[in-house]
Amino acid sequence: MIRAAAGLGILMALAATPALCAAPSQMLTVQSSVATRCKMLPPQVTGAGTNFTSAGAGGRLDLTNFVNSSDKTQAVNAQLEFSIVCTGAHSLTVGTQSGGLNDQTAGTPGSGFVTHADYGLSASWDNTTKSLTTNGTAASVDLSQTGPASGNLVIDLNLAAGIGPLQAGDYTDAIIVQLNTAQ
Amino acid sequence: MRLTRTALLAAVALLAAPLAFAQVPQKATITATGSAAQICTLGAPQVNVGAATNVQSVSGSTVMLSDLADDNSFSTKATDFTATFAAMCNFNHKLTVSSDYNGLWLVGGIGTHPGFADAVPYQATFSWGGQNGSLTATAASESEVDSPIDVNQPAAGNIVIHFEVDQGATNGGNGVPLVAGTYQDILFVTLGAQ
Repeated sequence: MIRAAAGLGILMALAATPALCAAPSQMLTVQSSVATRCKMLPPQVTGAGTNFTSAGAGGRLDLTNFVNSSDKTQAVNAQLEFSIVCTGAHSLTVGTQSGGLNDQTAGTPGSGFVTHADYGLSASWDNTTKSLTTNGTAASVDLSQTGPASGNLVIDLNLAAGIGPLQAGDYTDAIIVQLNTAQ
Repeated sequence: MRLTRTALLAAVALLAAPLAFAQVPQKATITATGSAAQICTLGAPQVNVGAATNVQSVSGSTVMLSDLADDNSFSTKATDFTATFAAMCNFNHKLTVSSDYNGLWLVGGIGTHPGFADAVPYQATFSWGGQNGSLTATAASESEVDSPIDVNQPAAGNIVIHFEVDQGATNGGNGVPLVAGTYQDILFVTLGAQ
C-alpha cells in the first residue's frame, strides 16, 4: 500500500509492513543402484578315505579306499564346503553329471560284476537342505534363494559299503555346483 | 521457494504555499525513501561429474552414483562429489543442511540379513558466508538429521557442499557386503532467519 500526500509543512513517512524472511530450500537426491553379486571360493574337503586336489574353482576328489578286498565298495563320507556370498537373489544348483560313479573304461560288464555305483548327495545352503540318490542319470538339487545369503554350501557325499563286485576300471562322476545371480 | 519483495517509494513535497507576494528564492524538498525486505535466494544444485568419484550422472537435482558396491569386497566404494548452489541472503541468516534418512538407505528394505549391510554413512561438509559446517549421516537409524550454521552477515556467492563416502563404510561394520538394490538419501539445503 502506498500513500502519498503533499502539503506545506507536512511530512508523511511511508512504510510497508516488513516482509517475512523468505526461506528458500533446494533438494539434492543422491541415489545408487547396487547390483547383485555372487562369489564362491574353492571347496574345503574332509572325509576319511579321500584325497582332494584343488583345481580352479573345483578339483578332484579321489576315493583312496574305493573297494575292499572283496572288490566291493567301502563306505565313504566326504564333505565339501564352498564359501559363498550373494548380495541378492541367486540361483544355486548341485548336481551329478553321470548319476553315479561309472566305470569310464569298461564296456559291457562281465557276468557277476557291476560298472556303476550309486551314492547319496545332500546339499545345505542358507538353512535349506536337499538330497538325492543317484540312479544312473543326471540329476540336481535346487537351492536358489530370493534374497542375499552368505556362508558355506555344504555337500555331503555318502557311498554305501557293499556295492559290487566292481569290474576293474576308473570310476568317476562329476558333481557340478552352479551359482548365478538371479535373472 | 517463495520470494517476497516489497519496495516503497515515498515522496514528500514541501511546497511553499502560494502567497500573494511570493518571496524568492523558493525552496522545494523531495525526499525519496525505500525499504529492502529481508530476502534469500537459492539456486538449483550444480555438480561437476568430471571432478567427482564414482558418480555416474546428474539429472536435475538427482545425483546418480555409479554402483556403490565394489566388485571384489561387495562393500562400499569410496565416493565423493561437490555440489554448489548459487545463493544470496541480505541479512544475518541461517543455513541448514539436512539429511532425510541419515544415510544412503536401501529403498524398500528386505528385512534383516546377518552378514550384510543395508545403509551407507557419509559426511557432507559445507561452506557459506565465511562459515563452515558439516553433517554426519551415521546410518545408525533411518531418521532426519539437521546441521544448521548461523551466518552473522549478509552473504552472496556459492554454497559449496562436499559429499563423501568412505570406502567400506556400512551400517553393518567396515567392509560388510551391501545388499543389492537401490540406495537413496535426500539432502535439503535451506536458507532462512536465525
